[in-house]
Amino acid sequence: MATPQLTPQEIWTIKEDEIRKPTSAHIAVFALLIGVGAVAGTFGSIAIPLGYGVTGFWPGVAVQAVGGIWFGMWGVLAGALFPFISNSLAGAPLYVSVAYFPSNFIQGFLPAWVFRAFKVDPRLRTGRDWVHFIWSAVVVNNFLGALWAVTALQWFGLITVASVPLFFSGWVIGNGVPALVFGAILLKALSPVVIRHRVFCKGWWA
Amino acid sequence: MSTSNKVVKMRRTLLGYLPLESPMHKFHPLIKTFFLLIVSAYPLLIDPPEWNLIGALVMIIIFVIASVPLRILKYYTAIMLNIFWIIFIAYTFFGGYMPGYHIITKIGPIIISWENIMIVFVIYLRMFFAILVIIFFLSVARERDVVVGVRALKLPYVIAYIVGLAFRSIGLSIIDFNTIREAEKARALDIKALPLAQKIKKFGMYIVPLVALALRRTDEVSNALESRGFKFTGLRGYKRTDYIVSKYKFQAKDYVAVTVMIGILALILYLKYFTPYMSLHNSILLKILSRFFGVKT
Repeated sequence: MATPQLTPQEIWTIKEDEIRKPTSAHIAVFALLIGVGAVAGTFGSIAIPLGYGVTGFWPGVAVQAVGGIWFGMWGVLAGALFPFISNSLAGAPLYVSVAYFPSNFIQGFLPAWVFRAFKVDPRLRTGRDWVHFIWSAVVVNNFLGALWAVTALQWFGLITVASVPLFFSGWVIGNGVPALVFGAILLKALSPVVIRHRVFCKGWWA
Repeated sequence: MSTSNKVVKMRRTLLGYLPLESPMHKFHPLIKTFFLLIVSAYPLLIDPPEWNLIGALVMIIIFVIASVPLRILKYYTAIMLNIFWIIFIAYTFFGGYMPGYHIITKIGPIIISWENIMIVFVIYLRMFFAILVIIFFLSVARERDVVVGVRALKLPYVIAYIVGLAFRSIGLSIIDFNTIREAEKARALDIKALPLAQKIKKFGMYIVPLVALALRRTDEVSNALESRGFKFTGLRGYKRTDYIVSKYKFQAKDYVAVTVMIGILALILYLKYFTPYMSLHNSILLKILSRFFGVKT
């Protein structure tokens, strides 16, 4: 017998008799996502470095966006924490990584919020799903992240006003392209499995 | 003829291997975390490039004393050079111009000024020192050190567990990554022959199986925890046995190390905010460089 197809409404709505609580599986996926993100992030930071952990190509952002959509706050926090490891391994000073925390948080949080608030199908089946995915997980989240990152770098005295466009565009493009390509592939390939998995979070924590 | 090959026993660290006789193993694991937290702040507070240069040289001496193989720095040579070029190009050619800047030369519409070149040296040497600090930490700290540090700070057990599992999963992800690559090679894919853009794209595609494997591993880990009746909060009325933490005691040398690190931090803060010694105007290196460029400041 074929498994019944879930509608976007059913994916995100918690039923009356449904009990959802954080379990050890959520703790495990949180930790394991940090590991996967650290490996993906380190490669990008080493491949095309622009300095201070900013890179021309950062596949780690796909893990941030998708992690938040699937696993709620567990994914958002994992996405905000793994750059501490990946940036360090790529030679970024500790306090620069600390300064990036809000950027990395928002890059995972915004798509996670949008998919829940607008009940967007993570399997990206309709044009509406794609539109929400592109503006929240590719464009606006990385734009906000870059805005904070260059502000922080300037605050640390590591970049001047004149060099802001270079680092800003490096961040937006370096994150936007992998978020679009790998984020979409991850969602299309794995969402049908993940939405039926026990670690999938309809809410923020479960 | 007899050959005497001395076997050096090593311990795995976050970045490589550290000889067993390294003095770093004699310190409490928490000292390494304190080192990262405190010493990482030094370069960000120091402006004169010669101070950061001295800091970088001291770090290299510490590398030698701690028996950290200096070849580890080779991995970072490309990154450091890349950062230098990015900083050099960003500031020298796109650093902007303000009235009062000392113009060295003009290339078309681009004005190359002493002030922008000065910033290149200030920022690059700051980064150089800061990068050496993070490399040193990664070269001497082990996964266990970080976990013990978290437990020694009396943070909840669940945090220590997550930290331990996260570091372990990095190793597992690398193993998975290599397995995927081997599978591709077995299907006759020559990764070395691919152009750089294809290599990067190819790597990105590895994220899909890595995430899928992480999901499967989530089931394995949580099933193992649940089948043992494991609770992150522990049992009521019973104190959790902390075996690893009990193996380490904070000793006199640990207190000395922390005091020295905090003392230097306090000294830098005092010199920066209450004396003129930390200002760029008093930098000897910048004075020498300005003469080299024929600028009178």
